[in-house]
Parts: sequence; C-alpha cells; structure tokens
Amino acid sequence: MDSHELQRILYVEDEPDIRAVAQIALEVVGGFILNVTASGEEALTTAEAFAPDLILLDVMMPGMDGPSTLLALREIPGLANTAAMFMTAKAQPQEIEHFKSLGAIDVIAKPFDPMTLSDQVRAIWQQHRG
Amino acid sequence: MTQPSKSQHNTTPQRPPDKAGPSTPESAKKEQVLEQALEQALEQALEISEARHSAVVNSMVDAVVTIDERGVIESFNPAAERTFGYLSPEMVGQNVSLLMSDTHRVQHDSYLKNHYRSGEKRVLGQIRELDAQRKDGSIFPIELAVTDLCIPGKRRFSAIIRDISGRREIERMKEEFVSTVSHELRTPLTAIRGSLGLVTGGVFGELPEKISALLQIANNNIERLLFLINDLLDMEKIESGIMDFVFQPQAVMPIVEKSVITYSGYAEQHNVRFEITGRLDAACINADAERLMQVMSNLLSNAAKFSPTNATVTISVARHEGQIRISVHDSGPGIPTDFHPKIFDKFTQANSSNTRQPGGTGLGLSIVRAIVHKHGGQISFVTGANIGTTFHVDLPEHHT
Repeated sequence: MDSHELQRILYVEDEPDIRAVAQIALEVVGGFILNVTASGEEALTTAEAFAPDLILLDVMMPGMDGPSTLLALREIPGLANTAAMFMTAKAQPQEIEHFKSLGAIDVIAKPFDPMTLSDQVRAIWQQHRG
Repeated sequence: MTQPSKSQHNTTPQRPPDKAGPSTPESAKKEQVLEQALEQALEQALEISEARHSAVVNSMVDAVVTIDERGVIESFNPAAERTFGYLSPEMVGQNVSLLMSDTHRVQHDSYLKNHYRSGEKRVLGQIRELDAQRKDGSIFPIELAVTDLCIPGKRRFSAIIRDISGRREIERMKEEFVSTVSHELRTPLTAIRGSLGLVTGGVFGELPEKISALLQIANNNIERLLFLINDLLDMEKIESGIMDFVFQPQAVMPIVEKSVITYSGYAEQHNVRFEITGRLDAACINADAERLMQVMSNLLSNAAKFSPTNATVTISVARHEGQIRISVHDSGPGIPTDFHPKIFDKFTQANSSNTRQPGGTGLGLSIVRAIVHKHGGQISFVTGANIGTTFHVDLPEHHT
C-alpha cells in the first residue's frame, strides 16, 4: 500500500450522468482502474474485494450520504486508512475543513474540469503521501 | 394642549403679595370657581392625553409591557395579549419573568436587582433578540427594546416586544433555497460541462472544425451560466447573512500578489498586462483572504475587459486617510456618467457596445461592495474618458 502509484479508485456517485463523465475522465484521460458504484450501500458490498488505493465520494446522496459511507467503509479492516476524497459543490474553505475533519485528505470542487480531474486527484494523492 | 392650563394652575399660589390681601367672600367664591374650572380643564387635558396615548399603545402591532423596578407588570397592551396568549387582567401584577424562557428568567431577576443597585444599563436603549414563552409554554424568538420611563420618584420600564418567528422562518427557508438551488442547478451543469469538456478536450479524437467551433460555443456558455449561478448564490448568501466570513489579521500584499498571479489568465485573454506599482509590505488588515480574492478577481477582470489591447492594468497598495487603499487602474474608455449612480446595483451593466468583450453577470460589483462592507471598508472609483478608471478599496488597517 505504500510505494506504488495511485491506480485503483473506488468511486461512489448517485447521479448517473456525472458518474459517466467522471468515469471517462478518470479511466480514459487518467488511466486509472475504477470500481464505480451508485450508492454507499453498493460500495460497501464491493469495496473490500476491490482493495482501492483511493476512495472518491460524492457528498449528497439519497440513503447513505458521502460522510456516512466513508464512516462505514472505515469499518472494513483493509480500508481503515485508505485515502479518501469528497467531490462536492460545497467547497468553501470552512466546508473543506469540515470534510477533512471527517477523514478526507481533500475535496474536489464540483463542477470539476474533466480534462484535469485525474491530474488533480493524482496531485492531491501524492501530496498526501508526502 | 395641556401646557396653558397647567402653567396657569401652577401660578395660582404664587400671586404677587399686593393681590393676596384679605379677600371678600365674593372674590373668594370667584377664585373657587376659577380653580374648579382649571382643575376640570387639567383633568380633561390629561384624559385626552391618556386617551391618545392608549389609542396608540392599544393599536400597536408590537407588544408593549410596562413594569416597575421589581419587574411587576403594570400594563399589558392588546398586542401583548395576542403575542403571549395571556389577557391583560391576568398579567397586571404578575412578574414579567413569566414571559421569559427559563434561561432568560434567571438572568432577568438578577439583572433587575443589579440594575436597581448599580444603575448598570445593559439592555436599555438597545434592541436585542432573545427567547420568550407563551402562556401555553411554547418558546418563540422575540426582538426586545426596553426604555426607561421618566416618572418622578419611580423607576418604570417600558418594553416593546416583537414576535420574530416569522422572520426566522423566512431566513431558514432562504438558507434552504440557496442550498437546494445550488445543488439542483449545478448537478446538470456539471454533467453538461463534463461531457462537453471531454469531447472538446479531444479525448475521443480530433473533431471536424465546424463541430468543434459549435461545441466550443456551448462550452463557453456553460461556463458563463456557472458564473451566473455562483454570483447569484453569493449575492443571496450575502444578503441573507449566511455567507461565512473568516477574518484573520494578515499582511495585505500577499493577497494582492496572489490575486495578480491567480487571475493573470484574464490579462492574457484580453492581451493586457497586470503590474503592481505600489507596495505596502508591512501593512496588515483583518480580512477573509478568500473573499478578498473574490473582490480582486472582479476588479481585475473588469479592468482587463475594458482595457485597450496591449495596455497595462496597474495595481497598487498605499495608505489613504489612515486606511489601506488597494487601487486597480485601467486605461479604458471610462464609465459613462449616467451609469455612475447605478454601478454597484444588481444586474446593471453599462452599454456594452463600447467594450470588446461583453458578458458578465452584472452582479460582480454589487458582490464586491457587499464583501468590502463586511470588512468594514469602502469602495469608490474615479473615472473619465481620458484618464481611464480606477477602483479604490479602502480597508481599516490592523495594528498589531
């Protein structure tokens, strides 16, 4: 889990159109391997087997929202320390601090630029690993 | 109306001594009649004054409660009956703390005691927001203004109370609206912008020129729509007081420098140059850096937009009348005179036919002004056809 590049991303987003755009941006532009799920509940069933390097979560979702999904994912032994980011329109400085206090390494602001999304995710991930 | 009769009445015992000699029974009778008439007139005047006073108090929309120095209620107007659900006869003679929520009740008792002893006037003359309690026990927010009544020999207080639960509800709805609009509008825009961005970004290969040009138009207008939504939401947040400001004492130059670097894209887009020509490296302000960046973003983009090609937009920081002045100067055509009074209004833009780059939301400068005001500062401008336009932002200096 330590010295390799960012490759595997668990992505949770309820909006199908945004999910499709982000998936192309991350897979085609960024070359990442994705596990795309439409809800927190779905993510919980596949996360352990997928063993992601990074968890990327939408915040506002029906049912389990982003923060509660992250909380539940943390209960899975292999994911207790996996890096996590939120993607949200609520990206004011205070809101970013709040999400960091929930255990995210950073926040990606929506609307995101699909051409630079992968670079952004990679940069944050590398910065986090120091 | 009460004045003439009152003064006559008062002067009666002080007649000059020459007229105060032993009086005949006839003159004594005259005097008595006169005195009775005066008393009657005074009483009548008082009655009229009282009737007028109670007509005002009784028809007031706000609750009016008067209390003595121990907090015992002396009067309770109809609006107070409606607001609190008690009838006036029930409340006169009761302690006013009955109308307060538990937390305020304890505070009030000790406060009145203190006030009586030390003359401390914490509440008087101010409008405060606190919680009150109705007869049925329900708690509701009120606005309270207390005044000291000048009745010789007595301390009396008059409280004007307004039920503000309606206003609070509207504030809450506004907040909810902003949050909903923000999410519901941005979600489809995120998807559209993302799709267009991927296609125009060439992820799936080169596009024929004509298709590419059209997609670029779509892309640019999505960007514009996003700016508009962001500006609208910012305006709404500022106006309803739900935009958070995090003020921190800090040096002013780093903010200005960062803004010039961050928004250099505006300069490139319009073929102009940004240059910092005046510095105050030691000066500090108490500011929300993110919000000031927003101010600079608006001023710099306006300056770039209205500058002639290859011109330089100058940015300077200086002291002006004891404040820190950030100035952004462009050598553009100046702002038309008839537009000056409206420049900070919402949704206003000068006739854009004389600009090279129309567009923008017409909200930028009103947001800028609102942010500057939140910092305790002022914004002004100097403009003319031959001198271009300079916007000055004056902010209080923070002395450590």
